[in-house]
Amino acid sequence: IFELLQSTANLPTPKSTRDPGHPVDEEMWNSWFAEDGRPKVSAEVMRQEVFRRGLGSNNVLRRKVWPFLLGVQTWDTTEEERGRHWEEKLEQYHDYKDQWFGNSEIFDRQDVVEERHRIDVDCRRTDRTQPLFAGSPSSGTPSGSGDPEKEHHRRYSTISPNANEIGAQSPSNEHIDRLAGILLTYNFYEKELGMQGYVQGMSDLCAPMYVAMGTDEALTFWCFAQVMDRMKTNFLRDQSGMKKQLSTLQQLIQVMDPELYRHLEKTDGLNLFFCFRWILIAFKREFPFDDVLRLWEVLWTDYYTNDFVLFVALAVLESHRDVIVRYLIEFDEILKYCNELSMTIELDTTLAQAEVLFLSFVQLVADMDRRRVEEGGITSDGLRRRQRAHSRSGSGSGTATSAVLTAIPELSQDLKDLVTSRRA
Amino acid sequence: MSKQLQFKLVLLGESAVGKSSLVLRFVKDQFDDYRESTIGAAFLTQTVTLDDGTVVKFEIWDTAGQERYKSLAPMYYRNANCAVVVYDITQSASLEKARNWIRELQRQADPSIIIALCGNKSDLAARRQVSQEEAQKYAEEEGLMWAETSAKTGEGVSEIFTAIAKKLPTTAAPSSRAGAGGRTGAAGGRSGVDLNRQQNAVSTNEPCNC
Repeated sequence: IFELLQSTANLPTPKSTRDPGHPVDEEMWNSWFAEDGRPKVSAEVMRQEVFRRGLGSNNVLRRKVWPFLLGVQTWDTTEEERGRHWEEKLEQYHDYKDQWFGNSEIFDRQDVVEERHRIDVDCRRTDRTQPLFAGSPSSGTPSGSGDPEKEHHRRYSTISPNANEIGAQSPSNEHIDRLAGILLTYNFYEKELGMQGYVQGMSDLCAPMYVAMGTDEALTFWCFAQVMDRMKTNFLRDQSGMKKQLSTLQQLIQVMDPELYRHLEKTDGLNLFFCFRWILIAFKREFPFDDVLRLWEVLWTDYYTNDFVLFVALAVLESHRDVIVRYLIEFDEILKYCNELSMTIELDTTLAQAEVLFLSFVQLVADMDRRRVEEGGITSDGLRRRQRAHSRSGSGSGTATSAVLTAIPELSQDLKDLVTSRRA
Repeated sequence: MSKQLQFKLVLLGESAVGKSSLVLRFVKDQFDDYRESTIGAAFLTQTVTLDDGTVVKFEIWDTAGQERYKSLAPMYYRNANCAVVVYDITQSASLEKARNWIRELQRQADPSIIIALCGNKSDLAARRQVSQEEAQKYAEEEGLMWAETSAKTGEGVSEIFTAIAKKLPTTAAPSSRAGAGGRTGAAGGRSGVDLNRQQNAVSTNEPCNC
């Protein structure tokens, strides 16, 4: 791929800046804050450090860092301000939760019963290898019990629609039930924003947050809500959000690896449906649990672009492009091959390659822009001629223009957005 | 030399009825208590040898069951030679969903498609909500194959796939992969997957009610 890029554009190969061997630790993190808890470094620096180093396997630190990364907390505030803000968030969370929790009228409403069922069956089979979710009720730790309100509402708080269903599904436990509760609460929160319903994949996004946030329900909820803000178009009923992402990835492949693009074209694989799971849940199923956390915090920095996940997907494809191009001649073979890459992908080399691919892409875009400016006179001349032709005949005959534009292909807005769009 | 046939099979049915578990039992003879939901689709293959020595290779598309992903299903069943529509015998609502899938297949899929209705989780017969009589009667009315299975114990699993293999045409599908196999034989057309085309196909379907 890089030879391809360099040969067409004569550009140097960028280098990765990542340094995952030296993750941000508590000492470094604490050194970024003044006495009153106000940060001494910019959010930009924080994001850069997290992008480059990551947080290692430190879930204690994650509880502090993720709320900032995800925008649950605002960076430039004091400890006290954040405390007040969190009190509000906590109250809001309970307001949303109380719409169903202990409320028999809502809880037993037919649509809610169906929703509970959808959530329940998925939570019972999400991350059951994680210690928190592994046990059945008898072996689960009854932490947080003794809350009298909870006992009182037990009948209307356990998500599983009816007890005798346990047996048809894998047994639940307290943490699985709380995870399901968070997802159900999200329904009541998101309803206001005009989306509806739990969609498969959401439990995959929520469960790791519950673990990383140390089973803190409200914190998990708000982090999850923020992640969904980034990803909820993935879950639209008409699949338009996923189609747009896969289409952007397709265009990216076309620019970055034309040979792979042509191969996918021949195999009817241009829909990139073998990347569907990767994108939908941000590689949750492709990496071991701890790697998923390390990947997600890199994505959430938005350090280079909001859509870094597409470059991660491109990096994975590029690592296997020789096999794909040489040996996989049918769409179903490619899908099977990509599904089976799960748990075999090395995270840090993939992230380093994703960064290099992004930087190469930026160079390429800049180079194309430069060349376009150099030939600008011809282009605008062609454009004028086309406009004249257009007004005369009523049908576009832009041959002069297209001749120029094939020399320097025009990038779509979706591709340009990759370079310019950053939430931060 | 014994005959080799190749067919495309698609699994459909409500979420958590055990589609992936059925395939896992059939293909690897394994069962996983915590089998996670299928995101997107999975593709697996398994062969069945019939009594007369004929080898039938199934190319199996295992799909996501949730209603929300319904719009993606047509690209998997469009060129399928056979479909296994799965319900959970302990969930009567899942039979309703199975009926919807069957109606959709009868309208949208290739007319020659062979459909098997499969009541899974037969090991949980004590919690049964769907009687054998009800399901069998419906299957007979619609001209479907029908069986109960347990992916957990393995009961009935290889039997239903073998029964399907026997019912598939023995002449229509050429055997070699290079010849594109059953995918072009009975169903016609390429097996390519096109998200956009599917949107058109599905727009005529009844809206889902989740």
